[in-house]
Amino acid sequence: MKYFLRRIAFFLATLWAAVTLNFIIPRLEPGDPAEVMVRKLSGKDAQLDPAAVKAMRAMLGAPDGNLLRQYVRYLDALAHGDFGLSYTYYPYGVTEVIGHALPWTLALVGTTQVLSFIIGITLGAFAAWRRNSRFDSVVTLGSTFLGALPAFWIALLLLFAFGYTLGWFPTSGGYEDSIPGWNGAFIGDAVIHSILPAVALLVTTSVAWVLGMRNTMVLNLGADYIRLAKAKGLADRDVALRYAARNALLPSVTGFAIALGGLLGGSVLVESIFDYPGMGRLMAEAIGNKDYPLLQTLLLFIVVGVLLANLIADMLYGVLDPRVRRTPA
Amino acid sequence: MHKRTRAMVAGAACALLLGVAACSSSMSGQSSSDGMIAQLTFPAEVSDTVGGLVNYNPYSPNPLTSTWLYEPVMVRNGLSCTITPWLATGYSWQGTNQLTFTMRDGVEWSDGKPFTAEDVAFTYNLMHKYPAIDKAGIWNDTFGAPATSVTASGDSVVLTFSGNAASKFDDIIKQPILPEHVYQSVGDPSKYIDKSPVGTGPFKVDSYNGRRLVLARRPDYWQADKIKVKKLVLEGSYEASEAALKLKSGGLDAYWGEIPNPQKAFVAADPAHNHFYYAPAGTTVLDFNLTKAPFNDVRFREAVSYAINRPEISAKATYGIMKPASQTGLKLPFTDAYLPSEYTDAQTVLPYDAAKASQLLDAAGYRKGPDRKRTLPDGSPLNLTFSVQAGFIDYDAMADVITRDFNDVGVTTKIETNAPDSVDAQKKSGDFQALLEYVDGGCQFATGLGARLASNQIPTKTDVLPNVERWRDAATDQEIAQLSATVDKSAQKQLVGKLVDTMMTQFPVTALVYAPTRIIYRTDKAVGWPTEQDPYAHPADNRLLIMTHLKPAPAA
Amino acid sequence: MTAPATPAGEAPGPGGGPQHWYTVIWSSAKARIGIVMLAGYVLVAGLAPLIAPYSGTRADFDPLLPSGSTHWLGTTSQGGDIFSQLIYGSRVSLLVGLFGGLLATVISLVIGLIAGYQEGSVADDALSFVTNVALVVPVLPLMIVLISYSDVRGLPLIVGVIGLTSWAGPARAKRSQIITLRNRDFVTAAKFAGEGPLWIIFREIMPNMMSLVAASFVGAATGAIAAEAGLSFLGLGDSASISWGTMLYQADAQGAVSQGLWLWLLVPGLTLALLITALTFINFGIDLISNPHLRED
Repeated sequence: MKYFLRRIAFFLATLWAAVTLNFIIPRLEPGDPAEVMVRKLSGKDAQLDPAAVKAMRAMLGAPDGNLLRQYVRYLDALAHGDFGLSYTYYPYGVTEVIGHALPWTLALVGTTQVLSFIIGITLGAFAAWRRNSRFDSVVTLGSTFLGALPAFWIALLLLFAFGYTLGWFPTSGGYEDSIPGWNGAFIGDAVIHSILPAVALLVTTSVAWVLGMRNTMVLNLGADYIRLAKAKGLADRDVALRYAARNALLPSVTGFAIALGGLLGGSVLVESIFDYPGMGRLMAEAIGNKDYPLLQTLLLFIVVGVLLANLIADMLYGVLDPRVRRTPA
Repeated sequence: MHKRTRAMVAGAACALLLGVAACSSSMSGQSSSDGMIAQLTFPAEVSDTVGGLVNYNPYSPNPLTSTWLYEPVMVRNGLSCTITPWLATGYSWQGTNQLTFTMRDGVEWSDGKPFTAEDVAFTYNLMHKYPAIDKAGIWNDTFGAPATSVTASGDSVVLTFSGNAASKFDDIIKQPILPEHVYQSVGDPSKYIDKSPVGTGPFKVDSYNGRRLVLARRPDYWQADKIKVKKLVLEGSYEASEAALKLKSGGLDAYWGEIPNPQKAFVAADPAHNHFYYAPAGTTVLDFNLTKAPFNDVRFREAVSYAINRPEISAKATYGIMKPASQTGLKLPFTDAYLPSEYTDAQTVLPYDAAKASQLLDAAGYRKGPDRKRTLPDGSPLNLTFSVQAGFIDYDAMADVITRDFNDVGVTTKIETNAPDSVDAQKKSGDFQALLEYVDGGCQFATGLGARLASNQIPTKTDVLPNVERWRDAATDQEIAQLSATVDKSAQKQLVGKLVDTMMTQFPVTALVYAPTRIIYRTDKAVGWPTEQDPYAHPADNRLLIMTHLKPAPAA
Repeated sequence: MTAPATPAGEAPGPGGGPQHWYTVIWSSAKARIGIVMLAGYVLVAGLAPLIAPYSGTRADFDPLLPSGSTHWLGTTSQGGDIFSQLIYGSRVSLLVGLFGGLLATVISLVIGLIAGYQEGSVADDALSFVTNVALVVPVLPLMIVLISYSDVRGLPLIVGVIGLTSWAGPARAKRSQIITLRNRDFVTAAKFAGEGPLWIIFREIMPNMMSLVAASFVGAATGAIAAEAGLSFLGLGDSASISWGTMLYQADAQGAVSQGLWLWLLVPGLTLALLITALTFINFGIDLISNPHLRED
């Protein structure tokens, strides 16, 4: 029990530290939100209009009081679930803005993560079962190479080949001329728009699962209980898939929990390249616009996601491997 | 999606059967026989990362459109500086502290209510009550004295200021006018989410699906005879490559952003219909920090001005489109009228003459050491660091050429790339040696070139103001004060001439190439876009001006 | 199958005698390929002035020349020779990989080792806390802050920033690895045999750790190389030198796609991917030291 309490205390302390850092780091970056917003409206090759900057400051109520007072107010607002108004989408509230972006990321990144996990695990398991076969070599070499490709570069090449040159897929956005909602036209529209970004994400994320699964399973296949099962005359295939694969899955599942936590932050570049209306792109925009209220909230999402996933992974680990709970004498 | 796929298939089939030339006309045959243009597509005016957040309030930072629904009182052409009357038919200054507009008769709001001078006075007075929407600085001391009252009587609106406010004019006429009968009851207008706009503009909202805004022509618009576009679609916030693709395929009819090498990326695909017009908006200049040695030495500034290969900058940073700029800070030949008679256009563009630069540097005491690197006159080393904004790819290329040129004449120079906000911080703190800046080429010299040289426009700890190089000169300040207080053209010319003299002899900043504003467009559906031959509108001007000039493309 | 897993790094070879670590690594075909590829990269980087026709930072050629005999891969819009940039770019990636990897590994080793060895103590709590916080700190904004507050420019800064922002994951891995190692049977056996804790750590645990450290160094180096490319792709790299990331950044920003200049975009990404592949292959070999079961028969 003590083990679990400690993990929860850790979780809360880390959460506080992360929330504080999320407050401080964006404010340490040079730049004034009002000036950034005015420059965005007027363009780079234009003089910054002092009158417009003054008006923008008045509108955003840009940072007043010292940092400490802002910090206290920020914590207080967080405790009340008040995330403030976005600077970029003023006067819309941060929660509303995120509410519009979240479904896209959940659909795109969530689906690709699950798919890549399933593909990776399956390929990895078969590669381990047929170790040193041609299949194994192709999977191992292929996934290593694909995993080495920078995701943003893949995205650019896909865009170039299938978007610009062949024209098979749309090159930006989440949908085109359909009306958002649960109708066939919109869903078809959205699916076609998500294919290229999904492939870019899939190609580069499956790989970690393939190699991890393959190696753990190879180790498991050499373990005593497998040899025992084989000696008892169980079929090779049953042994591999029912016993070895199942045991090898556990570390991967913990890893998957952690990866899911990082899901929101993981797609910034890919979403930006495809101009996909999700959280990653929104985050890039919030950083660029010094949209403190929006950025803080997005970072909070990520922090809570990663921390929760880690907490769950830790607890799972504690449940699955009692040795971890043993404290030294 | 279906529509688009089908159009593509049709296009491919057509090209196979008939050859490309025959197809382009049949594909573009969208102008109907009624002398109208059925539809044009422009890029969205907001970044549409998050769609579906509807707001048409022109004073919010992110309205779905700030052009087509609410209109300004007048529109200024930023190139020729001529003024086109819009909601106002005329204006006059009484001295420089009272401005009177005469408002147009017979204009109606899109809900049928008449537009009056009261609406205009209401809008300007709203800015008094809510400084958050006072983007023109009417009620504060930006570029002139604050207003004391705005009143309407009959068809005229009178703005009275507590002192000289001539320099506020361009900002005042730009502000979109709001309907009093709607906005009087919405409270703080900066916090108001305007979902059913009532404007005087040529279009009204037809539909919006969270991404694509469709605007329909208003037959009851006050100059409806000049609007030939029946349907205007605003869709997608595209970056360069994407925009080039959309333009080529006809998915976009005009684009105002940057497309590198538009000749190759766009025009070459169909030279008959694809065009671009890049006009100078101002001048890209090299700013030295004049408070530091050796930049406080005019002989150093003059010398290195000749070391810069401007044609190469033009070629590598702008694909040869933007020409080497005049050291006067004026956009030549467009503002020739203000050029003092002792100068000619060509002679004010400094030539690339490394030998002369070396000679001048030697003469000024910046001698080469044994390592062929120059030192300060007192023998201490001379190291120049160039701050460049990360992601400003043209600045990158310019800095690259300048750095090479400076090193060639023995001035040791290196580049330091920073996030743009960090460069802004350097402008505020003065903690920089050299960076690239922009001299506004607007129609009001007092707030453009003047603000670059005025000592009260030196950046402060909190604000990036125009005088980044920190030029401080009492005579210059006086000239700018006089310039901002006169609306008389010949007096203006004489004062601008003095600023030009300062630029040419003191080199407070070093001109490189003209900075562009851009419009890239296709003429298969609509003709009448601004061109170099007919620059009736500056690409950066209010797009209303262009809209009133568009006509259907003649049937091929 | 060979005998049950032996605890230490010297796994018995086919002949029964102990195998050296380099023999183990070299026994893997993948690792052999990786080492040869990496050697190729190192050679190219070292001999760059001899191989590249021009200096990587020279940019006074005509812009946008097509590929031909004087410019094998053509020139950029700024007038740089793409092939020369590619050759010189290998130097940046290898240096960033080496030093960024070293820095991250050293930090993670110190923190992970102390935390894991002292598991459950206050020191462990504090260090684990710092590690967890570092794991969730927004890396990109942090990098921008670090870069904008630094007076030094160039590779040392990039290396420092990457090292400081990427140690947390490996530190966590090392900590848990040490924890499982100290609970392993062979450690318990050594304890029962009456060995002192120092002997256990350095003679029993460390040899098992070495392959993890090596693997984590190669992993960190890979991460650093990729991070440099990403940072440069955002335009925040070291502008005084040419790297593959800066090449990609310029190609993308200049609209290489819409101008049809695909070589400019393709080649730097490919060389980058091949280098990362080589490093991953080498890591396969290193894995064999601690996981004899993975060995190819």
